Amino acid sequence: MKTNKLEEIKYFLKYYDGPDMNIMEVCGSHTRAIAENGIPGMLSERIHLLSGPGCPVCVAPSSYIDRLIELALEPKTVVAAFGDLIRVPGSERSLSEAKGEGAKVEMLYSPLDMLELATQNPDRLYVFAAVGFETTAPVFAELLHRAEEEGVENIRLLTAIKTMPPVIQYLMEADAPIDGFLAPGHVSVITGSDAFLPLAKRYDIPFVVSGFSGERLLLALYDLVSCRGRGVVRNDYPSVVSAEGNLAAKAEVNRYFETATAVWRGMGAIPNSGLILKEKYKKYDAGSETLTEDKRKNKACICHEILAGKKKPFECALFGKICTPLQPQGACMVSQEGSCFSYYSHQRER
Amino acid sequence: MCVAYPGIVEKIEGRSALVNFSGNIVRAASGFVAPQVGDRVLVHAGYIMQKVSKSEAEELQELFDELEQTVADKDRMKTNGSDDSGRRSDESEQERTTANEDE
Amino acid sequence: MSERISMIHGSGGAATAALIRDIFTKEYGGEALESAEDASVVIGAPRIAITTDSFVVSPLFYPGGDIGRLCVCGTVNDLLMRGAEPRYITAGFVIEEGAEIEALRQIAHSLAETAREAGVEVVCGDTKVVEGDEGVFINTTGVGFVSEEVDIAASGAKAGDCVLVSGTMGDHHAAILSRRLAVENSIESDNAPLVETATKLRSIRTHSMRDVTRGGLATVLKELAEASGKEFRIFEEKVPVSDAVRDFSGILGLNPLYMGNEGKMVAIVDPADAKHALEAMRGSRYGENAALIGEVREGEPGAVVAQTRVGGLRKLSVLQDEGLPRIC
Repeated sequence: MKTNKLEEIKYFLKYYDGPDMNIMEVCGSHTRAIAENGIPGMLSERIHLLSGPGCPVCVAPSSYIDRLIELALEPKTVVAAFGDLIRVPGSERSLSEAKGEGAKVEMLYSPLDMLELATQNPDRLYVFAAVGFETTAPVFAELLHRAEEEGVENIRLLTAIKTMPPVIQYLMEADAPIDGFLAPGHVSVITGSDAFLPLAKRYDIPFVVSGFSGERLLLALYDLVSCRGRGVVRNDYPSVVSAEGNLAAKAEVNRYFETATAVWRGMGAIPNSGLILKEKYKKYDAGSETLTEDKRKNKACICHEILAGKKKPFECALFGKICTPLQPQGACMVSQEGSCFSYYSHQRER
Repeated sequence: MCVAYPGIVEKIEGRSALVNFSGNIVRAASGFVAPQVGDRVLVHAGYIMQKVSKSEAEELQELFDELEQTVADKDRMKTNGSDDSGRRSDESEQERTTANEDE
Repeated sequence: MSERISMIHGSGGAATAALIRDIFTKEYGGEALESAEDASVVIGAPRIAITTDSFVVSPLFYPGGDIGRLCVCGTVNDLLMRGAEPRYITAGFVIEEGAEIEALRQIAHSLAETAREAGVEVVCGDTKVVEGDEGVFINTTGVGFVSEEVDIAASGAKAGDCVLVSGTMGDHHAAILSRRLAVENSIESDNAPLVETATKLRSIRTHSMRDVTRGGLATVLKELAEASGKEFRIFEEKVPVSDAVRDFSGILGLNPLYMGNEGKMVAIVDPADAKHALEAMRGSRYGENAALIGEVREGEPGAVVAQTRVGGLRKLSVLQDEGLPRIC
C-alpha cells in the first residue's frame, strides 16, 4: 500500500543515523517545493539540504539587468520578461523601479506572446529577457522559428540562458561538500537523465531526477540516501523524463544557439555553461555577449556563497535585517525560487 | 522558473495546441512533441515539453513498488554486511530506460 | 448627454448636475439622495462602526463583477467583520477624462444593485473629474450599527478555537489576473456581500472574523495570529480551492494561499459552536464550500503553522512580494 510505504520512507528519513549526507538541489522550483511541503523538518540531523544555483533569475549578472533597463528606456523599445525578473536589482535598481522613470516593461507568461505584440506594433522594438535553463531554451528557439516564418523583424532576445551540467561540475571541482544531487525534474525532460551520468560517474555521487510533489521529493531523498557513495543516476520521474530527453527540442535549440562561456552572478565565468545565438541569427540579438560585469549592490551580500551551497541564508549578516523581500540586496531574495526568499518566507531554521 | 504543469490536449491548430487545465485553456506550441487530442501533456512557458505517460497516482504507485525491493535489499545489506543493492539499482534503471524508449 | 466624460462634467455647474441626476441619483434612488442636500441626516445608534475604502481595480469590468459591485462588497464586508449591521454607504467618484458615460451608468447600476442586496442605503455621493485616461476610482465610507453585547475583534482568538473559512480561496485574484494575461477560463470573481453568513455568526460565540482580500488567506491568518498572540495550526489539505483556480495557479507558479478574494471570510469560533457555525455558513448564500481548516493554540505567539499533505510543517508569513497590483 502506497500509504504504508510513504510512512516507511518518512520514518527512514527522520531517524536516519548513517553517515552525514549533504544533498543539493539545483532547481529553484525544487527549493520552493521542498519548503512548501515542510520537508526540512522531516529529516534527520544527518541529512543536510543545500540550495544550489538553480534559479536562472538569481544567477543573471547585474549588468544583464542594467542593460534591460537601458533598453526599456529607449523611446521605441519595450522589454518583455517573466514575472520574476522584473524585481531583481541590477547594480542599482530593478526593471520595476525603472518603470517609474518611463521604462516600458511587459510581464508575459510565454515568450511566444511577444510575437503578437510585435506584429500589432510594428513601429516598436520588442526585446525578450531570455533567461532560463534547458527547460526554457526550446521556447526561445520556437519564438525565432515563428519570427522567421512570419517575417517578423522587430523582435530581439537578450540572452542569459544557462545549462546545468557545467555548473554542477564547477561546484564539484571547487570541492563543494556535496554527497548527492536532487537532479532538476523539468530540465531533465529536455536534456534526458543521461546528461548527469558522466558527472555521477566522475565524482561517484548519486543523482536522482525528481518531480515536485511532497511524495515525490520524499521518495527521491530516500533514494539518494540509499545510494550514498554510488555514482548512479536514478530516474524517479519516468512519466516525462527519458534517458535521452526530448530530441526534437534539443535539435531546435541547437539550430539557433551554441554553447559559450557564461557569467554566473557571484560565481564568475564558467566555460560552456551558457547558450548564445549563432552567428547566423545574431540579427535577433540585443547585445547579449558584452554583459559580463557583475557588481554587487551591497558588498556584504553573500549570494554567491549561498548559491554554491557553502553558506545558508541565515548565515548572511544581511538576511532578514537589511535584506528582506521588500528590499532585496541580492537576487536570492528577490525571486520566489531564490534560497533566501524561500528561507525567509518559511522562517526556515535548517 | 521551471514551472511546468500537466493538462489535456483539446485541439491541434498547426504548430500549436489548445491545452485544457481544469477549464483553463492555454495555447501552447506543440512542435517538439506531436501530441494528439486527449493526450496529457506537460506545458512550460507556452510550449509542450513532453507527453505525460502516466497519471501521478499510477507513477507514484509504481515508484513505491520499486522501492519496496530496495528496502528489502537494504535490510538484507544490514544483516549480511554487504552491498549488493547496486545490481538492483542498475537493473531498475534499465527497466525505466526501456519503458521510455517507446516514446 | 455626450458619450464620454470631459472636464465640464466636473465643473460643478449644469453638466455636473445633469450627470448626477441622470446617472447616480437615478440608479441609487433613496430619500437621502433625492433631496440633494449638502449632507444626509439619518437615524443613528449608540455604537456605530465606520470604515473607509478606496477602489482602484483595473480592469473596471471583470468576470463576475465590476468596480461598482466591488466597492459595496469591500465596504460592507469590513463592517460585517467587526460584528456590525451595515446600514449606510457613501460613494465618491474620481473620474478621468474620456471615461465612457455608459460604463459609468453600468457601474452605478451595479453599485445600487449590490447595495440593495446588502441592505445598505447609498446616502451620499460626490463626483470629480480629472485629466487622465478613462480611469474610474471610487472612495467609500460605510457605517454600521453594533449591538451592545457584540465584541468581535482581530485579537479575539482563544486557545482551542476553531478556524473556519467560508469557501474557495483565490478566486478574485485569479479572475483579474486571467483577464490581464489573456488566459481563457470561466473563473469569476467571488465579489459578494457576506451579510447572511456574518449575521448568523454574530449570534453564536464567534471571537474573530476577517475577510480574505489582498494578500490572501495566509496574510489574514497571520494578522489574526499576531493580533491575538496565539499560534494558528492549519491543515493545508482542508483549505478549499476550486480545480480551476488550482490549475491556474499551477500554470503560473502561484500559490492560492496568497491569492486574494473579495467575498470570503475567516471565522474564529468557540469549539462548542464550530459545527453549528459550519452548517450556518454552508447554508448561507456564498458559503456553500465553507470548511473547518484548523485550530488556535497556545504556542508560539503570532505563528501560523501549516501541516502539509505529506505531514510536514511549515510556517506561513504574510505576502512578501508585490502580489498583483490593483486587484481591489
